Amino acid sequence: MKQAGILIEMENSRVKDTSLGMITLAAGADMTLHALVLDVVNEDTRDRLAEHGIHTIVELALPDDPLIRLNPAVRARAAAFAVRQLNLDTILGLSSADGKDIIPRIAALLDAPLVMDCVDVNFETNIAKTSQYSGKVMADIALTGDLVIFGIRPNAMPPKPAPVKARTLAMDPLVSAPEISHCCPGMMERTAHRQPGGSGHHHRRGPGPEKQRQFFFDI
Amino acid sequence: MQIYVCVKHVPDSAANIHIVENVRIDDTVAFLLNPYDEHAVTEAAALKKQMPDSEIIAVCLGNADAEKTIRSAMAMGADRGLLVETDQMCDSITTARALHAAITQDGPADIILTGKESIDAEGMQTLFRVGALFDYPVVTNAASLEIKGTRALVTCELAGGRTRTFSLALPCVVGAGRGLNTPGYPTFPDVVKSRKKPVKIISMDSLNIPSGHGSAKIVALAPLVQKRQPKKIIGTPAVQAKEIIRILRHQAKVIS
Repeated sequence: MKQAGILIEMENSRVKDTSLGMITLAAGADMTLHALVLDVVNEDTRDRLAEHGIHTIVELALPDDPLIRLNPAVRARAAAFAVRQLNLDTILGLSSADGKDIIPRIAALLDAPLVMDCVDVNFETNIAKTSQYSGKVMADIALTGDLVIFGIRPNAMPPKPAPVKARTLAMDPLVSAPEISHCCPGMMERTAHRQPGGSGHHHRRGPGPEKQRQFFFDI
Repeated sequence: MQIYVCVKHVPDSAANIHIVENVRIDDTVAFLLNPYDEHAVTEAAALKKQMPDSEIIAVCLGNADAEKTIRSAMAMGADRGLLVETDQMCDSITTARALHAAITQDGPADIILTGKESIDAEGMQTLFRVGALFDYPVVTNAASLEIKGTRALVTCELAGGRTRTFSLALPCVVGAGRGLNTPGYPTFPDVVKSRKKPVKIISMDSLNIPSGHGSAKIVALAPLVQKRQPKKIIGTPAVQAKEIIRILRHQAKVIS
């Protein structure tokens, strides 16, 4: 059976509905589904992911420092680490603003073929539908390889419950593979409009202040 | 500073696209420099103004006709061009390998600029693959770029008007977004000068590009016909705003 990793996006400490729709798309195929979560997994996250068909919730611990945790290079390397560890053969992520900065990085790191902005995917044939030529053409693109990656257009599929029992698997990519942090050597923060009370643990309280801050990432 | 700009020869976005043999388009339509790559070339020219010793090299993978796109880049400021010539349709894995090989052969690069995506394949990934092959840091959708010593400071646009600023060790790869600059139209003398600038033609076969672990191949193309029906949105401004968000989210599916 195919092993699929689904890169989960969160908003206000809650799994985005668009991520749940992506799970629904994958749940229609005969695959074991692993949710790759790069943010803190709370009870609500576990429940929502299991309710929509996730078999394994992979909690990828990243440091609280937003300059590391939100750094797309670090997030991509952490996700790529999990993909290798779990020996996944299919990866799905959202073609959202954040996804466009992370999924192609994962594809490049793993040297795997990728189709972005898919409106549908046949996981048996690995053929994805996506628009091309400024939206004038719908293309069917076939991916080949041991690992294939699909960026799914947000809202391409509405979420639909398909409850299963999910287990949680914790991974600490920075401890297991410290070279991941080499892609942000300075880890310095020089912020504009910085909120008093500064760094750390923001994701445990929701992303409010982060939205108002400007980050300065070293990569 | 050795500035490489990866450019793509793409069909004009205003062209009528006709599908041939189910898997390719009629390539008799007008082709031009990918609009996002125009921003990259413009930024390279701006960097050269700050550092006059710099050289800008436009690199392209494409058929013989793609030389026109390299000439366009040279009219906008590139000093010379490299055309990796092939008649094959290449996926982003092969494209990145070809660009990497051509730049390695010609380089070394101090910075590689390109558009954040092409308007034909809309793959959004070649720059990341080029960066990975060189082991250079990569950012995309750049809205500002400044070179400070051995680092590049790049501000990138995110959704919702947010930005993130990155400090990248040079050499690096930067994907230009629309907010980076305003490309200028080349003057007639610039176009004339571009005809005299050198373009090196490199055959794809001579690069001995290793095959990847996987591939992406178009197996079918179909015209996407969208019937546009105007609809009046009525109500209070709040109701209208809510309806617009609903349409963008659930019908157009452009926001999450």
